[in-house]
Amino acid sequence: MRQKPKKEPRSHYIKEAQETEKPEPQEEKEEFSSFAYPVVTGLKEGVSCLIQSAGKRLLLFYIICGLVILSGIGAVAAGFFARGRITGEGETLLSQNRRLEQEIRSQNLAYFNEILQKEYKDAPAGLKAAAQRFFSYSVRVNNTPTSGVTMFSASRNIVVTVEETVSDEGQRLLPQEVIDDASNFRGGGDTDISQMNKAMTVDATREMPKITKVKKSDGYVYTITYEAASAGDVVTIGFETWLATKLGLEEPYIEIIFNASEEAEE
Amino acid sequence: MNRKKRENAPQEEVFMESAPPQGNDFSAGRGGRIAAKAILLGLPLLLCAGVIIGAVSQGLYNRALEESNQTLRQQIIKKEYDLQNNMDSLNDEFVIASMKTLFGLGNLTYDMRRYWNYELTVNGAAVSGDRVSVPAGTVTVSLKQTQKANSFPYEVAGLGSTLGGDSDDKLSYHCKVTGASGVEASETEDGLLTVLTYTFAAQKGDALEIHLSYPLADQLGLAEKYGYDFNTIAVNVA
Repeated sequence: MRQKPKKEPRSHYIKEAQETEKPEPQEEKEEFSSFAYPVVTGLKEGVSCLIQSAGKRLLLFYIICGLVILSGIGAVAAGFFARGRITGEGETLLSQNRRLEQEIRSQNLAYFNEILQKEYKDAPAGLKAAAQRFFSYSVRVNNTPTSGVTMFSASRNIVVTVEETVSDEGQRLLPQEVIDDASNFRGGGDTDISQMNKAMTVDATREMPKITKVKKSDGYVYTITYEAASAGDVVTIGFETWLATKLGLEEPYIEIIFNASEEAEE
Repeated sequence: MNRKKRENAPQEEVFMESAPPQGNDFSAGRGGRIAAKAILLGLPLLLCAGVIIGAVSQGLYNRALEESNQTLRQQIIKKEYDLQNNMDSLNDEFVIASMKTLFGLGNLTYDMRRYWNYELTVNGAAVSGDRVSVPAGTVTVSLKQTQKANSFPYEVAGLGSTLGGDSDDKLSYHCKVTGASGVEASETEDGLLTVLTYTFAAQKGDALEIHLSYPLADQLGLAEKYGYDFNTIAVNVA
């Protein structure tokens, strides 16, 4: 009687496992933990089994994947180069746009200035008062903002800074000529401090301080420096009422007392 | 058959020796196959997905950049056109916006009043009080609005007028005659001069009144004289 052919041992990978495990040296086995060892061997079995059972299909799968990956890399590279080109073009367009914007703005301001100069020729005070809304004033003693009457200075050199600033909106809106006309600190020119000297008084008993005036992009800064004060010296700076009001001072003067002990402590 | 069985027996033992501890999924190589599948199939698929996502996001990013460039191109074309053909209008717009910010609407309205002059006459005689006398017969009430020449756009200068720069507003809304019948109204405009005229027949004893709007009464200087709630001039027909 013809015998039924005996079934192959359970599965391919059991057989493979038998074959691959036999020659494996004992020491290598011991290197793996009780968990890692079957994982690795199982993986090996799985890989070889898959390759055996689905070799052709796997190859096709890898070819397709390879093509997709290569095309994707190509697309990414092409996109990368295109991005460089688009970004460069964008920068050129942006600068061109800014240039045109600037040109339009300068024409707008020139036209506005022409109208203002013509219409307020006989009433410049009204224009100045309106423009002054965009100006702000501050005073600092040794770089500390103040609105009080008495200040103490620990430094032998007392530096008082009085600043006039035009707001961003003012700079955007007003023609330069109107800003200059409205400035209280501009005086006759950038180096002229006569207007400031009129607006401020210093102790008659003291030596005239060193006064400098600097034009910033958004206004003017006056720096009044009293050098080498002696201990207990009191420096008084008086301001005209309009300036004191604009500076937000409680009184139209500031007293600065040189406190030598604080300097010594420091 | 028996021989085969015998041959297989020790091998099976070896396999069982290498079997993982009980309860582990790697028994009988099943876990290995899953892991192998995960690596051999999953890894390429992951790579594929990665490059596809990279390519797509790169494309989307480039498209956004291209759109932003397109917007810039359109802006440039518009600005170039404006510079060539539209500067008058742009300058006016700038002046209107800047004047409002510079002075504030209230101050600007007040300031612009200096460019406007109003005159109310009854039968050719200027009205400067709260009552006028006219003889019976044909009466002509006339309101003249004169704008002084200036460089401001109408939207700025017009704020100082009684009409407040409102193109829908009319002088006839600010000056009315009541108590008379057969009133004929006409409004003429000639450059900077606008004239509103009412003509009607009046009889002795008629109770006629000229009603003014508060802004017009103010512009005529009557509000200053009689108060800011003043708005009626009595016309006495003698």
